[in-house]
Amino acid sequence: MKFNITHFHRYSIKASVMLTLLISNMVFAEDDVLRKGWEIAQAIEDRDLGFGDSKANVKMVMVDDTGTETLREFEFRRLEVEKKGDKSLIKFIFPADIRGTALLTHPQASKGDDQWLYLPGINRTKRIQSRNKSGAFVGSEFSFEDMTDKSLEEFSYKFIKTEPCRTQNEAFEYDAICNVIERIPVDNTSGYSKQIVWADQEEYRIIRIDFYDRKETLLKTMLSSGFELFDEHYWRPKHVDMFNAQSGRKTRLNYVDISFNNGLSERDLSRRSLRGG
Amino acid sequence: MRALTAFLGAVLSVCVSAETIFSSTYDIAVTARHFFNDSNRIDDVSLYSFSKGVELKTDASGSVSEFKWRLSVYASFDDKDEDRRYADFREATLTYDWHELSFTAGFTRMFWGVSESINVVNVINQADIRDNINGKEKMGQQHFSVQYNGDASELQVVYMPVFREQVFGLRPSFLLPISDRAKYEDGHKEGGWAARFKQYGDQSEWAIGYFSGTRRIPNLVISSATQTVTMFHPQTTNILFDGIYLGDTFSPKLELKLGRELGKHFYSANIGIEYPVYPDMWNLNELTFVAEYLKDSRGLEAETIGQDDLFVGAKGVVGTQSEFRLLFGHDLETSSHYFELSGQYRFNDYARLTFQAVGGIDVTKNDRLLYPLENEKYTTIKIHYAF
Repeated sequence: MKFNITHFHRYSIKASVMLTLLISNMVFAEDDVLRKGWEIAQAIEDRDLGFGDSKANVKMVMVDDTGTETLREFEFRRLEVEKKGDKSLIKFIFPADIRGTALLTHPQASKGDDQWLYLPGINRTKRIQSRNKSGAFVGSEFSFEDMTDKSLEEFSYKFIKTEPCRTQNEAFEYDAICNVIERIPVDNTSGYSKQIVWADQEEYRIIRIDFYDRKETLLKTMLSSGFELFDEHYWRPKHVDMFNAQSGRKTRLNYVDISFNNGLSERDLSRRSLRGG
Repeated sequence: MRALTAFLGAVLSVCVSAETIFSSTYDIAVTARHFFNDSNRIDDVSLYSFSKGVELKTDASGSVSEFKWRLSVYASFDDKDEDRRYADFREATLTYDWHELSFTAGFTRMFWGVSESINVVNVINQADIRDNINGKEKMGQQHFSVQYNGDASELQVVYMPVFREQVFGLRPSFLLPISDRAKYEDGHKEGGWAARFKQYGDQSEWAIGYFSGTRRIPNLVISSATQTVTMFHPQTTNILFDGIYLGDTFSPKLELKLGRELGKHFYSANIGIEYPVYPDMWNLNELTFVAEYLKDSRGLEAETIGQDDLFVGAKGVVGTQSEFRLLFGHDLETSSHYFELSGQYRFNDYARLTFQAVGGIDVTKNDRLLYPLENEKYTTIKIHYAF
């Protein structure tokens, strides 16, 4: 059979066009999922804007791999600070021997958060290292990184899919569809390589997060439930469970007495507030 | 001063009503103290090797109108050691906040410094060495203070009208009984004045301070004639500096004291690093390694056991039940060693056990502050119930 250069040329052009279209579609599709991921993350963040301040009493139940439970109780105060990140103050109430121990966090955008630990037994306020946030918060399955406020710019995002929320969190009370996005920490000192986030499409409530360690293995899963609406706008879960997939341990946070617009000021989340009332 | 104390007591009594209390805690402990060797007394007096007792700590805080108050009392009873039968106001303060200013009066403990071994700049409070020989437990200090609280800085001025003398237990013994009558340079017994400016920066903070008054830690002078050890308190004037930088992997720290006592200038510095790790093994939640070098120009006349010493240590948290602290010191001049091991184990949400072991190893006689601990190694065990 003779080689027909005209046919070859025609097919080559067609193949090139198809390949170009295919690559373009892939690039646009990739851009599309990145853009959509960002938009969903933005919507989650915007949904919560304007809350001002909040307070809650939290019961933290830690369950080890033998089923033994340990209880911690603390008051959690949060002050919304635009652009810089929300300030938070955790003051322990129980057990009695650590009552008054407090952790104050002032987020910093491009570097480790400023954190101070107050030890009432010796009246000492100690500046602590916050750069390595993967350490466990009071021995729980929540790390310091999990307990601090996140800003949009701390991650890159990618849309993955949509699916019914209840398939990933049976305790979620609402019959809703969830957007699933992947977010990757920008800070390379993060304890996580990536997180998969499920948030419902209507109210942007985060109902599940899968945390992957630096080896890209599933490390922990967080499930939220008992959502309650405050001030006719702000959703807060009353129960947050963190399951450690690698150790079998878990920690449950039960939020009670959640309140907004308490009139908290910068002074209430200052170093001075560590010591008193 | 008695009038001031009575006045504060009366005010606090009014404050401490159920309606004004933010929080209160009570910690009751049964204690046991064991010395591994017979007493090192050179006058051949035999002292106890084992004693038991009870301790009570209470801590309450609240507010009345614009005033915040705090009351913290420590009480101890030991069946063998009369000097360990006492009570102390660790905190008894009233604070009034007016804009960025805080006005405080009463008894308090002020912690200055960043080191883990010996805090050379922590000069305000008298150490309660009956409670802990390492000097880290402090007695309450009467004071009036004004503090300016800025966004990134603080300025504090303190006046202390009363000097509190150090009190020794029968053991650890310092070779001879401690005389009841301390001596003071030129008869001056002054709480003193202090001021401190602290600046908070990105990943760092530092403070510069000043203190003038009677030095809290006495020189111990052995008198062959009276067969006693006499406390001698010189007057001291100090310029103090402490700072820490929080690095990505480790944190360097510095404490520096420049002073003048008995007509001579001196310096004392503690420079160190802190290296935290978060190992994912052995249920260790947190492990921090510490290395510090302490140098004092007064040499063996220094007020603490650290005059040319290297300290290394570690502290950690295991699961949710336990924590520990280990400190080992090596004197580069005398080759003496110091060790301290302490920790806690939690039985449940109310009961826990704490322990401490302290002592000197291979201590030479010229290391006069550490030498007594060579034969006075001891351990304490306490079982606490807190509610």
